[in-house]
Amino acid sequence: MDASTAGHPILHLQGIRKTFGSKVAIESIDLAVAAGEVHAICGENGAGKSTLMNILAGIHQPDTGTISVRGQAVDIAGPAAAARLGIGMVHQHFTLVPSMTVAENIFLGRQPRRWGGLVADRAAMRQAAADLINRYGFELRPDQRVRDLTVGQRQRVEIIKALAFDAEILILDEPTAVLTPAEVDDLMKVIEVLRDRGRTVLFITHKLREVKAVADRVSVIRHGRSVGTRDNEGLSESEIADLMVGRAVFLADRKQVPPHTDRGDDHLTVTGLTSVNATGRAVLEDITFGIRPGEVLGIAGVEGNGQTELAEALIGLRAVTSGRVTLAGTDVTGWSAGRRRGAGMAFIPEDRLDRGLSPTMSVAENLAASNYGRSKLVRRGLISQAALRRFAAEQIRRYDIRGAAPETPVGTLSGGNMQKVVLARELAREPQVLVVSQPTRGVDIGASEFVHRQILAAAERGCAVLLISSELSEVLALSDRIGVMLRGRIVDVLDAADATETRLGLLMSGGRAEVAA
Amino acid sequence: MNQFLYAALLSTTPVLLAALAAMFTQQANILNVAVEGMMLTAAFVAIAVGQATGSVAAALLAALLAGLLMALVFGVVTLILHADPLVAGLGINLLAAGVTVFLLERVYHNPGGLRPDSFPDLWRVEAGWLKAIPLIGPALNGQSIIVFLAILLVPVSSIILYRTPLGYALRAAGEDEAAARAAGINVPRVRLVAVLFSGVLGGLAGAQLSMATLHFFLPDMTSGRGFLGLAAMLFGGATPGGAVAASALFGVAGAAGDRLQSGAIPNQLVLALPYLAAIVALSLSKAGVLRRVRIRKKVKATA
Amino acid sequence: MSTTTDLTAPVAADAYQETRGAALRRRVRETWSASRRPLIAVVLTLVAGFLLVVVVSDNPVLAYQQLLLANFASPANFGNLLMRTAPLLLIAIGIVFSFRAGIFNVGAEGQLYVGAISAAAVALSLPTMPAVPLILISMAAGAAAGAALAWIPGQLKVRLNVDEVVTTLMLNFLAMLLTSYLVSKPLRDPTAYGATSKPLPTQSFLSQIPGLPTANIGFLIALLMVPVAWLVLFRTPWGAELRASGSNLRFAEAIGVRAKSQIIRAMLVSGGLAGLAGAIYVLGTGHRFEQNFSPGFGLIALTVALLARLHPVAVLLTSLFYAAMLNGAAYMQITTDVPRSLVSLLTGLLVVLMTVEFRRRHRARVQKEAGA
Repeated sequence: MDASTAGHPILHLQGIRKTFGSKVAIESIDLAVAAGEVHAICGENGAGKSTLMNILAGIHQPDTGTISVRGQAVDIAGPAAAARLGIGMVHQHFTLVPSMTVAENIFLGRQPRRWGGLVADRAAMRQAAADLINRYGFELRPDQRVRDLTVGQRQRVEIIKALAFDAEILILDEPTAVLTPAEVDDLMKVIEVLRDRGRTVLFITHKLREVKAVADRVSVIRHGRSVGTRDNEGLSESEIADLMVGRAVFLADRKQVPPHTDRGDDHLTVTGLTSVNATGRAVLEDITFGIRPGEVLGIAGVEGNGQTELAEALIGLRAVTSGRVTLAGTDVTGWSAGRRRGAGMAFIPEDRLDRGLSPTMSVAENLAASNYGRSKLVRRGLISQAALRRFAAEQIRRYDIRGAAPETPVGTLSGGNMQKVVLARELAREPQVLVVSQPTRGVDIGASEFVHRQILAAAERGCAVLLISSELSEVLALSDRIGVMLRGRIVDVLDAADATETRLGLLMSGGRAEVAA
Repeated sequence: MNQFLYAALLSTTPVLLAALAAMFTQQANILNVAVEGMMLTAAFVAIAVGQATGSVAAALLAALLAGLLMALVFGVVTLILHADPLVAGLGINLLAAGVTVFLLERVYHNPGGLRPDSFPDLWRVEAGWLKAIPLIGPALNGQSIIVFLAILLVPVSSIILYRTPLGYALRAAGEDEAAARAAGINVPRVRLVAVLFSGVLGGLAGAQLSMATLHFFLPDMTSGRGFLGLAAMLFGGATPGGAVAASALFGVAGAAGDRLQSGAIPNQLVLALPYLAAIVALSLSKAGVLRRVRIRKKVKATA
Repeated sequence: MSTTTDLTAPVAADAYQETRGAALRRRVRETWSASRRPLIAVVLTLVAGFLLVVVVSDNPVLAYQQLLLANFASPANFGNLLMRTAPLLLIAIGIVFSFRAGIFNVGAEGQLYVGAISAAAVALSLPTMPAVPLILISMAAGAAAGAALAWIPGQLKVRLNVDEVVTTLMLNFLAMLLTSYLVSKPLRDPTAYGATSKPLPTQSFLSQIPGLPTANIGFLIALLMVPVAWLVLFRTPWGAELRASGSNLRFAEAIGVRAKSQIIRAMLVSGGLAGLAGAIYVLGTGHRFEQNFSPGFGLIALTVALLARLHPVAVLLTSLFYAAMLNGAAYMQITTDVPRSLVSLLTGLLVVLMTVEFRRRHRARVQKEAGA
């Protein structure tokens, strides 16, 4: 379908600009979306995609610029106004109430009623939900509780929720981030069904493969500006990448290292590690691997396949039912997190605001938090303020933490700079083992490169690194070997030289495992 | 036995009403420690207005309005002015205690309490057929209208919570604020409605306390019944059925305490029974949950 | 080369060695921004109280004068003020510890009562012991009893995740009933009217502060706790770990802090200080245990602690302010026609208003969105 020649754009943005305080989120964006097309919007983290979508969903109002829907200039004052204009949004973080059923979630806030409007008509809700589910051929039942659904199913509930109220324009914000490869394929089919039914789909992503697979046209935004819109046909992935970044991307290259067999004994050894969650389901099953000094073991996999639990079990935050963790020959399985840290382990958690930092405490206190025992910060039982300040200033300088003084509350920094605080704290200990999860999530490109360099530098010093990431490019760029996690197991470990995106993707979706079984 | 059930129901009612009050706000994710203050204010206003007007209807209505007013203050400072609900709730309790004693001293010149010489009787339900119902009949017969209202309110709250658009909105706002907002629900407004509900229910509880049998007001006469209701609500998992069961447990403990008071056991220790029951019950319910999970783990591991 | 959106350049390390003047300015700025909200609440409350007094009293100015200034009219009045301050100060510092650790101990009243009765019981059972050891043992008993009572909800919280607000509130009632039983049966003074214990042995009385006939060294003990608490909270690794546990429990666990035992420790300190406050009251002021000796010190201390934004030094100021109100209310009632319960009413009003956001929370929201 050649959408570029269609008549009036169904959605037209001109000169949109949005600032938050002194931060410019969107500099200037122009965008024309034709009716009935699948339009991909690409950009790096922090390019302004999410802000743009929130403007379309009515959550934010632009400072300047005009939005036209079907040729009419409109003012999208709130989510309800967006819905009236036929704009439906599927957020990256689902907005579903887990204890309610599929039907109840679809009609939340707008139930069909009876008895003079006093009581929700549950039969009508169920029926209407069933009709919608059938029309789009989704595998769902109206009475299922959302908390019992898989991530992919939940996403479909979100899509139906938007469609239930005749959304002509459906916005999908990073819809594949949480899906397994098989679920991604299903989603692509869903998007095609939507296009066949005459809906317009706006598909926000930074994953180029998906753009190529499903989009009619591609718009790229960079640093809050629209860079251009192209037809997907005839466009290569590397061309989109160049547009997104605005320069050739230098991903940190693994230095030439001797083969790992020459590097002595494993520093971190994990044998038969198994752990169950609160409901008794195994989240880690028989995990076994070893990491030598100076080696980076990457863990690839779709999120939610046990990576979080693996990191927690290694650092001592999760009880294991069987198996052993050995640190330089010492069995540390029963040790607390504090004791493991004392023995040379460090941890960069996947969510810095959850486990990585205390946002209300100062940069200095966050930097010093796990370093009191080791450093010269404490004299006669008291923390020396001068030493603390010096220590913090030194880290701020060395890790290039911008916008920070020692007493700045850490929560006021940008994502990348917060991540640098975590990095600085953990590496200040010169650990022998580093467990690092999603190190560049929500971090801009400049800071990402910095983080990658620091991780490699730690490995060069002889640190054994476990790198958990759902970004294949990151795992491929940094690792010596790559393990793939699926349903709580490590299904295979490849040498970096043998690993390709395709091979890893296949393993991640269970391809090889089935062959082997 | 009949007498004991009657007493148990009598001491259950205020706790049950407080539990239902706390349940509505809990479903909207607000821990409502202000129930105590709403009850206390209502108890005072009921006696004061009843004395002044001689009318039960006026007294009851005034009590409900007093509960509603305290709830409104609580709702406005927490939901519109973003005060901390725990602190503001405790503040409401202090305010209620302060205002009632201040008025006792200033208006009635008796800081010890307000005991009208004559006070209109709250409507009671007495009927032969009621007495004829086995077991619960005699316990119900002769109770105040508020007791019957409280019992009726259990299924009514259940319907409100689980069948009405308001109930859906309220539970969504409590469970996942972002989801509720995305569905176009005005979260602060829904929460305010929940708080106002709790004010009316707390008002009823206070009215029952001072009007049903005692016909007088004492400073701090609620003596933790609002907190007991809060505990009953938590113990009952913030559901109407659970609230009834837990309140009945504490009510029976209270009635048993009154019974034993005349015996050899010192009465303070007996009066402690419902509070002790509340702590033990809360702990056991949490421990029970953990144990069940542990058993399931074991089953899975051996399987 | 690097293309970050952040435009501020990195600054050399020595740029952070701020001058004395700059440090002072920063301190003043921080103090002001922290104290603005509580100050507004206090002023609003006092204004509301004055309007109320204008309505009910013939001589509102005299009433307020008595309320606020009579405390300083004589050494005796001032001594009374200090002795009212002591329990508030001790309990509030304890509450600072528990709240900073993220556990909301609202059971200080109960901890105060068990502390007071334990100190009294110990002093009564050792009538022949010399003064210094007797006082020390009685105080230790009071602190231990308060700590033990606080230990229960702490354990229930960390082991079973039972809401500590509800359990501490319940324990208040239990503690009151328990002490009421003890003072009406085993410890009762048969010659006295009402529920009071026998008088304590005279050598257990706390000695008075020279020049202030109504004040004793109990106040000095409470005062000493201010710098101690400040040092522990803000200058020791233990304090840093405690605050980390309170501000973000999962973070604290991840950096290797035993957050749960921090919570228990904070509860022990909290209950211990409340119990000590009870002991000091009994040994210094009451000289016997009386049921209902406290005008709600526990809840008022909660107000004091929160009004001080959980800072030990500010707690000294707010507890003095509050003691002045409580004490001044008595003088006001004697001199004018305004009842002392005005202060209870104002307390409620203040607590309701205390955490109100007077300005819209713009900044937090903006940062959240810009970060997303």
